[in-house]
Amino acid sequence: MQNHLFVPLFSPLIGAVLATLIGHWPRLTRRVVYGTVLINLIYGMWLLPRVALDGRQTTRVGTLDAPYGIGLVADGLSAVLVVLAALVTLNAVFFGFATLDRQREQFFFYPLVLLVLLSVNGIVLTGDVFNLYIWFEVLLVAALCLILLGGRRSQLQTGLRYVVLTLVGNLSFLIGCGLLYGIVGTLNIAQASLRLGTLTSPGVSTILASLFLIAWCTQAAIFPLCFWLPGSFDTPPVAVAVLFGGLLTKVGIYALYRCFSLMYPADLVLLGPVLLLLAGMTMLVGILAALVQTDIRRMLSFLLVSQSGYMLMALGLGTEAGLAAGIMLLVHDSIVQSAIFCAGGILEFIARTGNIRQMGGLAQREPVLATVWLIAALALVGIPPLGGFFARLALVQAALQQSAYGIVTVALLTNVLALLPFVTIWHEVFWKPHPAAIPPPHRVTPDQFVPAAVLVSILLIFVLGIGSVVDYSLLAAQQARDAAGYQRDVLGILAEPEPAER
Amino acid sequence: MALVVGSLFAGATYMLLRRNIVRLLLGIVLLLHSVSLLLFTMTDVRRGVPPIIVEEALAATTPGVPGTASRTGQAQPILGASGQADPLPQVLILLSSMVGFALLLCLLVLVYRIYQTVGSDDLDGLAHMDST
Repeated sequence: MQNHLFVPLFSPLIGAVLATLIGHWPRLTRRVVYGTVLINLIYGMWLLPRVALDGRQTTRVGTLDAPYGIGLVADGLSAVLVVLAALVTLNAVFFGFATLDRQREQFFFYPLVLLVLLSVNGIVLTGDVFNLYIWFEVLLVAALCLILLGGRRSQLQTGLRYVVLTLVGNLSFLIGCGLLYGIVGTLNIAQASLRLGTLTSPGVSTILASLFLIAWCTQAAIFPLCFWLPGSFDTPPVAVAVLFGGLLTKVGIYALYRCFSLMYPADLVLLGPVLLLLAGMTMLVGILAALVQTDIRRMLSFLLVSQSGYMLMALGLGTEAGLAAGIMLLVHDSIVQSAIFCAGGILEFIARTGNIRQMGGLAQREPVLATVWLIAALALVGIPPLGGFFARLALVQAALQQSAYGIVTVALLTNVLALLPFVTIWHEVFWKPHPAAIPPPHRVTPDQFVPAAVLVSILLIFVLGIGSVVDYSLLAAQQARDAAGYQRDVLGILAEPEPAER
Repeated sequence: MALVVGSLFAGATYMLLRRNIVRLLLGIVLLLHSVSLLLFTMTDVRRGVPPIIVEEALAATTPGVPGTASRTGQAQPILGASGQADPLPQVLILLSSMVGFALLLCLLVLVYRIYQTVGSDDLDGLAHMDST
């Protein structure tokens, strides 16, 4: 019973309510919001080693014990996500502070951001499938409101697309929950994994797994379901894109990792080739779509789609090494995406347009910004010695162990192709002389610049501490795949299979 | 019951694919309802058996939620030893319809804003991005 697990749920909730109430005093609101997010960050940093040393942390909500009451569970994977969520939110808040106009800032930007943080924390900490659904819906509503913030016509359009696609995905998950309850009679992840393991007809759990797969592939922007994503990143304010880039697809990936490794390990073997196929297509479609864009944020958002493919590939391999590589990639990608959306947002802000054809000469005007952008871009593509390289190396090694040569080819090809959009941007935005017909860009102000610089320096720290990152992600992958240990820790009994019916 | 759920799903899908934005909204409503109904049929539906646990009956059964306790047997109806229906799916329906209701409100506001901006209920009118 570790009641500290309530901290990341209550603090953003209280913060959000407070921020709503005192919304008329922006300075005070900002302080409250910073404080809340900092509490989360500090808590996450504290949870990280604790999970590694003491194993899973569990607690229960209310008075009922594990299989009936709703529990909270934190293991390595959740702890990583708690830290990432706080980090990304902190940067988004900082960035929002620097770039948002007064009206949008007062129109519940901060409470909504805190609600996103709350729902992400809820998703990663819950031990119950239905609870997971509820948190996903909370995330959906909060994200929808953030997309709509400002209410331009294009935002309305993407908001509608986002909500319809994601809602259908979530409802597929809800159907999955219902069927799961009908089949195994429980919604607790630990107990369900126990009972699903003893099902006599394996086809049933494959159907369940597919329903869950549809839901989270929508959330994670996997290929046939990824088209809500690009618009949702390039129409709302930049600070929202910074937040979404680090979190929105990552929670889908998290849910896939969590449920497939605990509840459907057998179906993972069966569905593995499908996952790999989807992953490969996501990578290629994302990268090819990115190549033809001229808007900087649109380009970045298609790149984000192709990165989701790598993380799905890590799951599709079905091995512990693959999952560990996936977790590494998840951590790295979350930081790097929000860094690059920050940098891209600054570019857009100072040039007053997102169109790269109308920018130019920024390497000379803003050398520091150019450096930050360059580091973030190289890290995203995975050029050694930056962190993305090590994560991809681990992934490719894991894939080669499984002799999955096809997907390795696609992954490497995508990686080479991923350089192209960045070369284009570098050429157009930084090297080309500034187009004469267009007024010169603004200067970068330090407060806009700080979040991107902080994230990039975290990326560099990531490289220096790559040994411990590898160790931790191996540990997290091991914990995530250890279904018996999960059942033991959550249910508090020695896991012995009980007969499941039907 | 299965037929009703199936036809609701079919209707919802049809509505979702229409261009008219109000139909889209109705499609989502139908989808929410059909999922609720699906959840309801997950357990054995019996007439006149309320999902209320009677004190003395509780003592007779294994501790915990009665429906789940009896699930370890094979194809038995999902009823506790005391004969009450399994309350959990109904709780799920309650929660999911609450969430659905909240979502629907958001959607309604969104649709109204779209109607205000575009001046029609045709989704294609939205496709012209920010022409102003």
